[in-house]
Amino acid sequence: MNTDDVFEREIMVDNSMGLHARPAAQLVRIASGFDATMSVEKLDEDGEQADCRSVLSLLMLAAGKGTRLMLRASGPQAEEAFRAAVEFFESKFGEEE
Amino acid sequence: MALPTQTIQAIAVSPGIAVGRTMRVTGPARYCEPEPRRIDDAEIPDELARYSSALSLTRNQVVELRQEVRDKLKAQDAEIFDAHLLLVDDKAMTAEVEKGIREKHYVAEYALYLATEHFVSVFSGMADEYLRERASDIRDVAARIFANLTNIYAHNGEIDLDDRRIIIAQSLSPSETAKLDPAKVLGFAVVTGSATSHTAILARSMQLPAVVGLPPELPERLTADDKLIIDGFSGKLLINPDARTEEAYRLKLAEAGQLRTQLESESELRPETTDGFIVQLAANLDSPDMVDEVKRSGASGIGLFRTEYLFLNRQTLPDEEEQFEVYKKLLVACDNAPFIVRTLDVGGDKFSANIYRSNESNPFLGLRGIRLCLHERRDILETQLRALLRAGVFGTLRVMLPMVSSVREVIEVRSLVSQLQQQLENEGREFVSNLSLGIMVETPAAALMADRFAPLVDFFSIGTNDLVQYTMAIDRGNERVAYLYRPAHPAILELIRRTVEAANRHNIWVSVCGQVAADAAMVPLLVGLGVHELSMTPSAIAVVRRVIRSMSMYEMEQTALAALNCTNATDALAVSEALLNLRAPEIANI
Repeated sequence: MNTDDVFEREIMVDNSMGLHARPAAQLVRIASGFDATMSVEKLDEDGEQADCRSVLSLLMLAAGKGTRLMLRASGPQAEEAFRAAVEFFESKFGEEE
Repeated sequence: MALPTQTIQAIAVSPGIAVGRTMRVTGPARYCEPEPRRIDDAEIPDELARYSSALSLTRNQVVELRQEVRDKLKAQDAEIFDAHLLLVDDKAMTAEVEKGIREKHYVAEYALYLATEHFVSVFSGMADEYLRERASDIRDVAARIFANLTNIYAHNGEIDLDDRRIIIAQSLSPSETAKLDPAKVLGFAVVTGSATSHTAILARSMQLPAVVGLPPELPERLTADDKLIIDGFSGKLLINPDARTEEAYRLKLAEAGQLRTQLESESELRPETTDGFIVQLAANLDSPDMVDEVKRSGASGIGLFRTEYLFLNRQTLPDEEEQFEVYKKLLVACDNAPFIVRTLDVGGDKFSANIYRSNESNPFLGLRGIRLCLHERRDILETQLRALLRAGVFGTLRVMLPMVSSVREVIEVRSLVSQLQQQLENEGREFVSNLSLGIMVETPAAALMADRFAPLVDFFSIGTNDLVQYTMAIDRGNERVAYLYRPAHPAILELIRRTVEAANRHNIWVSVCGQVAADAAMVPLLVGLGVHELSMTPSAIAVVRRVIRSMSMYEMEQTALAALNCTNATDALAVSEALLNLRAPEIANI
């Protein structure tokens, strides 16, 4: 496995309450479960970035519904971490029917 | 290092003497801006290590706390601590603090302070209300880390001590004070507070000597090596006194103990003046556990049962059955001695989210006491009155209404009572048909209109703490006007005189249930003005009984008359103190 690979993909915050405290905390748990560095970048003029292992930095994005983010992962377990995170976003954080 | 010998003049809030060593206390919710001290390059690794060990200590504490909450309460309530744990371990936070230490050479405390304020300001500025509220979680966690860093004892309620100590703190909340264990705490001295704050009231009822108004920087300078004496009479805090001074205070302490034992042995004696007038001495009851203490004190009954404790600090409101059981039990315990219950008095500084959310800019002048119960939460008043009407058959129940300012309020309650009695009748339940109903006289309006209220009620109970606040126009929590808090002020005495006069004309009785009833120097004035009953914290009854037994009604009346004609509170009090020192000089030292 090539540890230099960077996984990247644009994702959208799609639940009505946005990336609030509970999903942020869950994302931190997901990111902390793998040997990988993972971040999200806000795709707007500010281009603010957040470390997926920090609740504070995720919350500081204030990413409401409809926010477009660039998810990036690198490191030995980048692929696994990336898949888990994408799945979490696509499930709308498991919050909506 | 111990401080040099010195005496600090603070404000006396709870009488008594305490001699012992220092225990400095800070709560987890309070942390203040630390010194922005800089460190050398060489100190950086140590500072980083110190921060990291404070973090792991904090982590363990939060995990323990979460477990405790899970065991005691619901799993849901423990979730907040999951969030706190994530914050303790938060990479962005840690990175910010380490940056402050490494790059700006700040001590860990200050680096933590800067990082916290940074995140708090970002969150406080967010548009989303939910996220804005996270600022308080950040502060909470930071305060825990802070306490571990500075090695100040951070307590979660209980204060654990191996020997009895004197507590030193910036401030103590009423709930922190209530949790102080008298077996471990000798007394306390704090920076903020006043003689009429709830903390001070609790200190007196727990018989803990206390002073407030220390210089703000003093608590940080005191350590466990410092020996202290609290003089709760004169308001002095003595730091590392010389051997002679300490000996003198220990002697005083021993004498006061003997006198107290002597006075308590007099609990069977009648509270009768030397010329044969009897003054009823009743007890204020804050919680049902105090009933035994009340009985030992020889009180004639309960002059004030505050029902707030039934309602505050809980998720749901007590229903009729729960209240009925509490009132019934207490009435039975009183064994036909009078038992005066005050209906719920929330508002002002006592609030509970499940009763009423206030956004008033001045809640003490807002929807408080009977106003709240008649307008916003009539349901609460109805439930409480139903429970009281039913429990009343088990003893001598009297009910009084707080914060009354207009006659209409009494009329409304009277008609509500009749409706409820009709309801109970229809349900075939037992209830009291002639409820004894009184009002608290704690607004100038009630005192000035006493002759209009008197025909409608069965008694008056003067609540001096609020009467002073509203008459003198001073916020009880504002230390800058605390000097105006003078119950002996001739304006207050005049309001009491008018109230008593109106009561006498209509043949009803008057009690004083504020804190001044327990103040030996105020007793001659109150009794001299013609008050029939004094209700106080049970521990004060022994002293007040001695005061009354040592004077004649005639001289107390003359003293009250002289005080009424004084131009200020200091002179009025001096008149009364002169009589006290003449007739009961031993009281000055207890």
